[in-house]
Amino acid sequence: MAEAVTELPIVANARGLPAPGGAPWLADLRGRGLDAFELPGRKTEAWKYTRIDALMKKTAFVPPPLIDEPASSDIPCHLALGAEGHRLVLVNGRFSPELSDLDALPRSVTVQSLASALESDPQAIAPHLGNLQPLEGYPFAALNTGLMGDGLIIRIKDGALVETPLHVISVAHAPGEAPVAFHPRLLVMVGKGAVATLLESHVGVDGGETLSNGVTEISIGADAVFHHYKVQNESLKATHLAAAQVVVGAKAVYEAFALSFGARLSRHDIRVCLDGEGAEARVNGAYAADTGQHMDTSSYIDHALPHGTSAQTYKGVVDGSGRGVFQGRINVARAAQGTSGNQLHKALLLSNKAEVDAKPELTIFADDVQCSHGATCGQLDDDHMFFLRARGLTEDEARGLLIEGFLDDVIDLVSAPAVQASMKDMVHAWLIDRSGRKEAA
Amino acid sequence: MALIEIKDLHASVDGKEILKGVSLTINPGEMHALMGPNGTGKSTLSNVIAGRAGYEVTSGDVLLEGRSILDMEPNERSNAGVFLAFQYPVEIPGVATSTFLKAAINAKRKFAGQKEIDAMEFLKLVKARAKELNVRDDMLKRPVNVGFSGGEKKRAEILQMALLEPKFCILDETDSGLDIDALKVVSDGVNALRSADRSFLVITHYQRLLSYIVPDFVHVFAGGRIVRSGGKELAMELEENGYAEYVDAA
Ligand SMILES: Nc1ncnc2c1ncn2[C@@H]1O[C@H](COP(=O)(O)OP(=O)(O)O)[C@@H](O)[C@H]1O
Ligand SMILES: [Mg+2]
Repeated sequence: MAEAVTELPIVANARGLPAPGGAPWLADLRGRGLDAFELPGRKTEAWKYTRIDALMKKTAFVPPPLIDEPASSDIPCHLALGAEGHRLVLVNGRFSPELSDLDALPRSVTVQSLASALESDPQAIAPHLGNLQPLEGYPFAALNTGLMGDGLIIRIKDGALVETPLHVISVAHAPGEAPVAFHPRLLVMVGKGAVATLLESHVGVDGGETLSNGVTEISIGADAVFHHYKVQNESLKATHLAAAQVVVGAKAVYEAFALSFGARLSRHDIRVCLDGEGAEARVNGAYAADTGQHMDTSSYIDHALPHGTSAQTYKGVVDGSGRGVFQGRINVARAAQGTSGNQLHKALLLSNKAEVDAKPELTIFADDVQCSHGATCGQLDDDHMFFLRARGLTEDEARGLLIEGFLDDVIDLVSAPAVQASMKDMVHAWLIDRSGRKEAA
Repeated sequence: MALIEIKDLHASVDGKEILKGVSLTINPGEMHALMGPNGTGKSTLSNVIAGRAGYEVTSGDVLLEGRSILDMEPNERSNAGVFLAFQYPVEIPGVATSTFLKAAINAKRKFAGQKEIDAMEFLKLVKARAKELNVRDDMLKRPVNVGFSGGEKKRAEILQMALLEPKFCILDETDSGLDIDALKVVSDGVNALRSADRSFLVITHYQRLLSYIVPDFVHVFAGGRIVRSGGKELAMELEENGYAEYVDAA
């Protein structure tokens, strides 16, 4: 198996490159990452609904060329979240100081590119990098660990009230013939009692095939409130793999929302550990997949300590021959008495070729818990349709309004008004694109 | 010309005949009340007129201003001027009431070859009508009927009616579940819409509503058809004697 993996183009083509920062601990970490990487296949339970092995074997991914970056005007900003934020731009995983906007950052926030940190003071990040992300069970996070070269390190000081969100815009860009793969790494440390918001927009510049294989590690100190909103709007030639590892301290709140429209194949892995008493996680999302798209959300909420609360609601619209996957695991440790953990996945199928697989999994070792999970999968409601049509809407108009409402309903859980509004605009834009596609077909 | 003409209408659901020869002519400006026991087909009649799927019209016809509407899609009927205020208004999570109202107004405008309503005009219009019906601004922001009380749902239906200005309005048990204050608001709203060219079919179980919305004609509906017609005094008689004799007859 190990041999086969090193022969994969994505690994073989990356290997000869000089990696920035040669500290022994880093070489060791990268080595362990590559050693742990196994291409998930038919027998890999966690990936049984999302098959990626054929793509990885047949596509000759290369590391991004050191070309001139796209001009600021070439970045499809309309595909990114429209909310105000300090722009932090990654092009193919590399931090671009020119395209970013670090000047207005408040003093309570420090942002550094991973590459420069590894060069200037690698020892300072040694205790944090890879601290949260397990290598076992997360093959692509392991690959990221093996091949990572750049990304961002974001530190938010204790007690900081950061009003303007930090906005990471990750641009996937394959200007030449060769399919490009990159492995961005984000490390976010939120201090005790801090309040901050991180936005992530993943967009693609039109061009060739890309693979974004990101890992985000977030630690949230006690009593902090951290909002994390992500939009994945890459091109239909893109593959988007992302793993987020979040540790939430006592009485801290983590609120996340992930919205996906893009990529032909995407996998959003999120694992949240409630690692302090009374920690809270609100982890929600929505996706819209059409023909030629496969969207996987796999979440794992780990209640490690007492009186934690987790609430998850995901909604997906699947059209044409698109495919949606939701795997939601909640684990309640023996110590985690007084836990409340709820999870819901709702899918709306718009065609009879559309398909959704949902797999909830509850493992509970404490006895004083309130947990629930639910999954529904259905079509548009006939009574809703008739009501709207009886008010004069055509069939298409009524369907459009109901599909939009289905997604807007879960986007209402986003507590930042500007982000909520921007996400709803994106749903609206998706529907307009969709009716364009239907007319063209 | 009659505004609406229902001619010996027979309709079934799942092969079971529910409407068994309904005939009714309504002239412009008239207010008709349809009263009768539960489960006899009153809502079925309103659904068939509005064009809900699942009902098979086996014979007869429904004409609006002399044209059959039975082959028309529900939205075409709405655009032609038919409005049904639902007995059980549906809740639609995620669709803001104001968004829905705007879509409905624009659908009608598009049909009439007019351009879309502009945002300011829409706001002004909706706020004015909503105020008359005691529909609070926050209800307009909330999703359609979600979290509305029974009375709020019925007022929202009348608001839609006021905004779409239909020719023929069917009110299917709009009074059920309303307290006396809400009943007055709803009745005032309906009365304000009465005009020489607009007609109503008010379906109700109780005479109570008809002391607020005074009908020109009252029909007793039982066993899938109209079994007796009269003036508004018929409603009083029904209130006193109940429907027993009609249920037995049907
Ligand atoms: N969609 C439907 N499917 C099956 N049965 C129906 C449907 N609609 C109405 N019915 C049946 O038709 C009969 C009349 O119902 P309805 O028209 O609701 O009566 P009313 O409004 O007078 O109380 C009832 O027996 C009801 O069960
Ligand atoms: Mg009824």
